[in-house]
Amino acid sequence: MIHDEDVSALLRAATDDIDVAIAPADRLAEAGDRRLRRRRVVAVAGGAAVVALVIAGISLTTGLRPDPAAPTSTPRTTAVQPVGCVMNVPSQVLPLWARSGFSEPRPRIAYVSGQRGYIIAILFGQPLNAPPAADHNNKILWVPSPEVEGDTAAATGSPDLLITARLANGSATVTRTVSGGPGPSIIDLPEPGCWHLTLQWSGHTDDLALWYAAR
Amino acid sequence: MKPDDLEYEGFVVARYRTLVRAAVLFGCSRQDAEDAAQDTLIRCYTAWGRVAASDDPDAYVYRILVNGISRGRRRSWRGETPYEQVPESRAVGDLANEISVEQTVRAALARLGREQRQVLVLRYFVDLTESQIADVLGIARGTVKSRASRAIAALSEDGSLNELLPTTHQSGNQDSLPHEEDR
Repeated sequence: MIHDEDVSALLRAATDDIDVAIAPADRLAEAGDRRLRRRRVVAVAGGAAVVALVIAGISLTTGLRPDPAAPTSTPRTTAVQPVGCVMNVPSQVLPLWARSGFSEPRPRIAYVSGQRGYIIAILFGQPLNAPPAADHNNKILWVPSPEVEGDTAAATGSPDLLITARLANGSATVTRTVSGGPGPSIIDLPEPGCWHLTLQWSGHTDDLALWYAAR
Repeated sequence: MKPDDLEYEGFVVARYRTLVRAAVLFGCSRQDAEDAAQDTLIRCYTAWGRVAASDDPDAYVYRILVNGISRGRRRSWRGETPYEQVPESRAVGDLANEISVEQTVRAALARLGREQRQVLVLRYFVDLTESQIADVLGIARGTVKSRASRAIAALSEDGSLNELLPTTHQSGNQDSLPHEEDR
């Protein structure tokens, strides 16, 4: 008999070794922009046709003029939630280059990749909390990709890992420093929410988003 | 409404890998899975107002993915998105075993009906709740439950997965964290 947890383990085992390239976010955004522009062109052309028809219609009628004092529709305002973060980061098999120090050959743990793929943040206690939870701390292990680790040409600037964290709604920005560069750290942030982190070390830069839950 | 660059990139990076893998489990080839995931994320970009205002962005994203795959829209994909970096190299290990696990599981999924397969993947791979799946597929929560139950029963009867169970039980051990002094 197969149980729920078996199904979950089987589905993950079947996909663990599917190599997925780094998400081409910038190119997807460009493609999205192109689609939006096409839509606008179509909308403008359609709107022009409608206006032409309306003008033609008005010219055939009498006394039908819009009242300038009439109220116009008010744009609907909606609270925008931060969506750049994942509240419960799923556990996944670590990239080959990040497995050093783990006893399992294919360790599975929650981690978040930098958008350029230069670094990952391995989350040891979920959720990350602001303020920190009583039963676990906000421990993050930063592991740089060997692609940049061995890049001596770019190895300038501070060897420390400098973190500039910006709350998604722009209401707060704080900085944190991990002495000696990427490695184990406790990163506490002042407020719950979706934080965008800019990471700088040894001349390299990457960005990622982390969700800090309210305690 | 266009997303803020960083917000969109964070959104994409957080979901891309799971979207591609989910699409593979839905039955797409790897290339089609990447196309479907990318098309989904582009649609999210163009409908960012709805994504951002949604109570449940993940349910919204997977609704787009499932609908896109179901309608075969991925086949109309024309824009190729090149990568700056090639995918990570394959792990050196028991390649035969890895292929066997993937193929056996995918073959077992292929023998399920499309609807059962969708529920199974969304519930046990993507980790959506029954309510979220009901929202994604536009069905009642009870239907989600019954489809999942029937799908698991079918996999149990299938028998082809039985010999994989001890192997997969060994994975997912989170007690194997590195010691700080090892770093």
